[in-house]
Formats: sequence, structure tokens, C-alpha cells
Amino acid sequence: MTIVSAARSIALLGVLWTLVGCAAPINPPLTTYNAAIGYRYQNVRPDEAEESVFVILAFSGGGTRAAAFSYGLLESLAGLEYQPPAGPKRTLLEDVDVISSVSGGSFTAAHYALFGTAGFKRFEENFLYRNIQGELIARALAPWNWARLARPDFSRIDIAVGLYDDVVFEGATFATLLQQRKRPYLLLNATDMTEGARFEFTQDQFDLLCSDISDVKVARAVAASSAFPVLLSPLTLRNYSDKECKGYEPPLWLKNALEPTNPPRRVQLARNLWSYRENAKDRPFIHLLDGGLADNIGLRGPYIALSGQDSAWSIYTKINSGKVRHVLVIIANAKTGRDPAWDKTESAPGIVSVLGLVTTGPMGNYSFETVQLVADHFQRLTNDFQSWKACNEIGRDQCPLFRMPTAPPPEVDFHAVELAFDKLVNDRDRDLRLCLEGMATSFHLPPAQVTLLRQVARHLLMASEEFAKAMRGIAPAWTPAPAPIDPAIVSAACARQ
Amino acid sequence: MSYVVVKFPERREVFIDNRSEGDNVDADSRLRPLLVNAGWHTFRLGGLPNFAPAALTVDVPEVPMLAPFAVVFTKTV
Repeated sequence: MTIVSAARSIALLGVLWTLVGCAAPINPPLTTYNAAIGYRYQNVRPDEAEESVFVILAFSGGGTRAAAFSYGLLESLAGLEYQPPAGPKRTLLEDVDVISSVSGGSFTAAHYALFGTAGFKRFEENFLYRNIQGELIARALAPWNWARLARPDFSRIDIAVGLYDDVVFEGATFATLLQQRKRPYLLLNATDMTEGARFEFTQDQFDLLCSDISDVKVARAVAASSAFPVLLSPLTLRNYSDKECKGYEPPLWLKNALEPTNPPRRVQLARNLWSYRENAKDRPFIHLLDGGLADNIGLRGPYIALSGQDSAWSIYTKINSGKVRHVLVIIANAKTGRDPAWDKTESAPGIVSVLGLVTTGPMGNYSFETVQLVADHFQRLTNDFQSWKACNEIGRDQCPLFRMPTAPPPEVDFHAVELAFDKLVNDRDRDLRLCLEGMATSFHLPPAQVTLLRQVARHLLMASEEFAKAMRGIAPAWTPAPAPIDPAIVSAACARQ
Repeated sequence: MSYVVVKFPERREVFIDNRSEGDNVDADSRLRPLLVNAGWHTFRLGGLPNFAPAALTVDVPEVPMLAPFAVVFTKTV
């Protein structure tokens, strides 16, 4: 065989590979709209039983650092047994109703939602302690992927999807998730490039594209959630809503929220969602990037549910209906810090440092504001409920027959707990904090760093005064367990930094 | 964040934007302040259709719990 004929054979093979490999749309159209089917909160929790203690977890981005940190939180909750007022002992992990995540945190969230605690060991082996980064690069450079990468319907993110699907999520789809019909409800968040808005992988969101999420692989949603700009290409979905979407009626809250005289934040949310239908002809494709660009701690979706009726799982609705007595939000925020050496020298930080700050600094500031938004909201609710009680007491003090014109508000206990490295505030923890804040954002960390992150999550949870208050409300006899950090692990994890 | 009381001469289930939010009054017939986010919402009642209007779409202002916004239905029969 001459060089020319060999080249022709390779080219022909490439063309065949390209043609054979032409993929069907990754998100098929919705044949008929039906609120009773699809990956929605009410279908995952059909009975809405056991919502008295409503626990929401939010996992931030940050590669394996975030995945290990949020995994440490899950492990801690799995080991946290308490005695409820009625029934047998249970773990707080069993009470987790919703996990909302972005980027690296999405690996942990999705794996737990799919495989539960039985999958913990597999997750450690198949993701946390594995060189996923190296395998991604190896697959991207493999010759058999060159022709595929030349195709318009195949890009770098598809290589990531293939790897995640093979080694982490075992081919699972959203139909697999739904079949389990149990907590937690999973919110995997990406960012719509055009709107710059949060895009969640749920059937409620896919309704707006007139698309069925059931056959979409969980690996694809996680890849979209963690598609960091430039490193991975955006994930593209088809928007079918330019054609008739049989039986679809938008939720009434959405119709009402589109009224321009609503509060601006509400109008903005509604317009972002409605853009998929209103501009369907101009938006046949939707391009998604890392969820961290819209919200790097995965807390914006829960905040909407916590602060109104504009969500499929509104907490206001659950409080009004008397279903919820305790609302606990725990945020695993694996944010990094600034390099403390920058200000020690006259020379300005280099271009890598500047780019690092530009890409992560605004996200960090926004995350801080989002956590404060939730905490302030909880404080306002608590104050309102207490003001009714105070008014009632003053009235009765003046006149024993006094009766408030309205019913007492429901007794609901609200707590927002943020676990972050900057909560290590003691002087003796300074070096540890700097070590954690200096860890790389990568899909491969040294094993000692992964172990350290898991231990730190547990340590921070047990040290949190807000968490202790929340637990005392749920189980008055509960006391935090010791959660030491192994000095040998600290030495091994931080020595190389 | 706001609060709404739904006035009707009888105890009725309240629906906000088509979702059940419990009853309008408690066991002592006192109006229950319902948590609602400010803005436009559609209110209707459950049970017998003996009320008017059939549904009310109103712009709920931001008010404190001690001075809730009132949504009023009247009994027709």
C-alpha cells in the first residue's frame, strides 16, 4: 500500500466514522406534556411525606476540591444519627430533600442522588481519588477522537460526557433518577450563555424547550454544569418550542410573573425562562456553560423556592400548608482565597494571578451576597413571626381578653449554615486555611488533599454554632461529636504547597 | 416577602397560582396570614363554587405580617 492509498483509507475511515457517529439530538422533543411525569419535585416525592424537617444542600464549584468537600458533608450527615419525636432513630442525610449544585459539586450531588450511601465507596474510587483530569486529556488527544472532533455535532464536552458516563454515572439518565421516587431531588445547574442565567436540569425547565429530559444522561448534565469556559466547549441543547408543544400550559405563577409591574427580580426570572418560548424561532439551540458563571454555590434555585411561590417546590407553599417545621440549608462552599504573598512585594502579581482573580473574584463576591441573601431572608421571617408573638403578649398584658385578629404564624425554625475554609478563623488554623484556600481547581488532587477536605467538612459542620442551633431545634438532646483533623493528613496534604 | 389574608365567610382551602396553600382561617376561625412573595398572583377558593369572583388576580404589595394584604371573596348563594 502506498502512502497515498493509506492516506485515502484513513480519510475514508474518518468520513465513515463521522457519518456513522452522527448523533441524535441529546434532548429529544416532548411528545405530550404531562405534569404527572418527568423529573419534577412532585414526581420524585409523590407523597411529600416527611417534609417536617426540610433540608437543602448546596454544593459549590471548584473541581475535585469542591467534590471532596461536599462529599465530606454527605459523609458527616450520614453519620449524624438523631432521635426524632416519633419513630425510630434516623440520620440527617435521610432528611435531605433537595441538593442543588454546580460544577465540581455536581459530581457528588448526582452520584449520591443516583446511588445513595451504597455508592459512597464507588464514588471515592471512580472519581475522588482518580485522575479524571489526566483521563480527560488522554481521551481528547486519542487519535480516534480527532475525526469526531472535526464534526459539528461533536466537541470537547462530548469527550467529557463519555468519560463521566463510563466511569462515574454508569449510563444513568434522568429516567433512572426518577425511577427511584425518593429523596433527594437533584438540581444540576448550568448557565445559559445567551441569557447569562441559571439553567437547571429538571423537566420543569425542559418543558420550556418542549423537550423530554428523561433520556438525557446525567453525565451530560454534570458536564454542562462543570463546562468551565475555554477548557470545555459549551453543551448544546435543541429548543423545540417553535412548534406546537402538545398540551403545554405554562405554570400560572410564570404567567403572572411576566407582568412588568412585578418586583424587578421576579420579572427578570420570568423573562429568562420565557425567552425559550418567546424567542423560540431565534433560539433553536441553547448553549450551556459552567453553572458557576450564574451562581457558583448552587443557592439561587433554592433561594427562589425559599422566598416565594415561584418554584415547583415552594417552601412558602409548604409552610402555609403546615408541612414544614424546620428549614435547614447547608452550603458547602469550596472557594479559594487570594494569595497572601501578593501584597508582600512591590512587583505586581503576574498575568496568571490576574486572570485567576478575574475569573473567580466576581463569582466569589456574588456567592457571598447570595449566602447573605438567604441568611437575611431567614432573619426577616423569624423577626416577623416573633413580632406577632410580642404583639400578642403586649395586648394580653393590657387586656386579658385581648385576641389577635389573625392566627398565630406557623412555628418554623430557619437556619442557613455555610461551610467554607474561611470559617477556620483561629490563629492555630491559619496555615491549614491557607493550605485549603490554595488548593488547585482541577479534576485531580493528591489523595491526602482529598482526605483532608473530607475531614475539614466534618470538622466545620460540628464546629458550626448555627448548625448546633438547628440540630437542637430538631432533636433537643443532640450534641456535636468530636471531629478532629488528622495532623498527619494535614502534613501530607499541605507539604507540597 | 409579604402576607395575605383571604376573607370569606366560611373556612375554605386557598389556592395561590393553582397550588393549595391550606385554609383561609384556623380552627378558631381567625384569619391565617399566608406567606406570599410580592407581585401578581391569582387567588381562588376550594369547595363549593358559591363565591365571587371565581378567581382574583391581584398585585400583592410588600406588607408586614401584622398588617397583611386582604383578598376578599363574597358568598353568592
